[in-house]
Amino acid sequence: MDWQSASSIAEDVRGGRLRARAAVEAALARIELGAGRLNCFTAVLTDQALADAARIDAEIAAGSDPGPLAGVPFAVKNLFDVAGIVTLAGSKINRERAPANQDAGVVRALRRAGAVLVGTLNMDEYAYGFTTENTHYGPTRNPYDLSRSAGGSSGGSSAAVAAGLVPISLGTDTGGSIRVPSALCGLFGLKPTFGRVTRTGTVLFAPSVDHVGPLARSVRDLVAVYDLLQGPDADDPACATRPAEPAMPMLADGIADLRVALAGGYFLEHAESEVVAAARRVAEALGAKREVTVPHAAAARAAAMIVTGVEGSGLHLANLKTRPGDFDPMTRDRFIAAALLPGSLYTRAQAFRRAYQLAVETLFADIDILVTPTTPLAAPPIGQEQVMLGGSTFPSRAHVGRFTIPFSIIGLPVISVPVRGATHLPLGVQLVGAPFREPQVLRAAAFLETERVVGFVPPS
Amino acid sequence: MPPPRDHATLERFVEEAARTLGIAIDPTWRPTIVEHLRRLLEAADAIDAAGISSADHATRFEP
Repeated sequence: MDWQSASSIAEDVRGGRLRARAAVEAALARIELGAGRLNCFTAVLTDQALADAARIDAEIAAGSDPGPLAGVPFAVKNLFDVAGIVTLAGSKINRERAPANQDAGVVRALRRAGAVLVGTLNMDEYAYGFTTENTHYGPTRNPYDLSRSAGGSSGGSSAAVAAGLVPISLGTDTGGSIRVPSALCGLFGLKPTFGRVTRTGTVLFAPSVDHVGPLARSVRDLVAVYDLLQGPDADDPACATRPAEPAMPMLADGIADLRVALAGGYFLEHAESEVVAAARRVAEALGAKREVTVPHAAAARAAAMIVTGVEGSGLHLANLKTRPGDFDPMTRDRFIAAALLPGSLYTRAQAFRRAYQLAVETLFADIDILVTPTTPLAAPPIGQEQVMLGGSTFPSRAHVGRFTIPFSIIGLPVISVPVRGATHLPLGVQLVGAPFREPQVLRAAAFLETERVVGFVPPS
Repeated sequence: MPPPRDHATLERFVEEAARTLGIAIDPTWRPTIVEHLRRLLEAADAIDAAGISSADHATRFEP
């Protein structure tokens, strides 16, 4: 496997020390060797990737600069449109769609920057899951322990990067689907503020909650990608109109001005003790002096369950009526249940959501960064239905999202950082910021990485 | 008096609501659907119990 960073590959390609073709061929060889046992790729775009690499090498030879990610191999969750291939979104039903006639906005952005798309990645069907246990395409396995989940729903995105197949990938996050797999696979994963990154050409799950973001093995790589993705897009009605605010220039600014607090109560309950200890360690490293309570966090998770379920079932209602048997059983029954819910319960959930948003906004008047564990437990075994924590039993898959959901339902920017010193399996901690304050959470993450409190450790 | 949430009641609701909506449910799916519905209804209860709500909510969310 290869652990060269995206930033380093781009520097070498732009500097003429590495041909893009060599970088891409190496990635394709790694995928050929390693992707099968992880079951992370659903399509490998060999011919297109080599053609793109050849174009980049020609540009370099002609004295042009192909862009800041020149020659960097990347892969994307298979709900992003890629021109010429069918956008599966983890489903069997979508196999019948015509191939996409253009790339999704974020795919276009990375390719415009010189990155080379090498393939598309496995996910939970229609993004409705936290473990990438996909009945149609099989489970994606964790590179740290093949018997365990890589997390979801962007499990392919996390496994491919953690296993060294590609240095960067893209995922989506509605209740935790970038942060959870990042944490379970020892990566950095960013869920930006809602509306920060375009969703054009993305198969949506819950339109008022879906976010797009990157996964990487370093903060620098994460930010390099994020800075290319963010910014207004008139073709996406949910995309914020505020201009892009690059985070890279401020990455090394340190944390002296940041007010940091640890989230207590709900965010330290029903979790493995090592997870709680990790969050405390990170909070202490960031100089947190306070523990604060996020008001109504449990109810926020409940509201998210209703909002995402109802919105998702609405998108798929026609197929639920005509071909319910073609859905993954792991998603079908939840979609059907949500489709039967009275609309008044959805609007009440939305009314709560707004009130909760305002309450949390008040919290962020006095703090800049909130620290919480990303998941209550390390990667669960594939197929596990229940987990016991502190004498209580929880449905394993749903419980994984306990700590991520309360922040995505109100669109706050969150990075999951991989803590060093985890005893057996990777663990992640969330750094949560106020809306559109990605530079603060990212420089806090950069500080932690420099201090070696967090960092990627390759699987053995 | 809390509304009935026993399995039989919810199962009848699922069967009739799904039929009305035009979704054909295989009987083997019913227990899982009922369980998911129960969790959604409990989620709605949790929201009510929180006691906060906003009049200016919109279904289009913006931070």
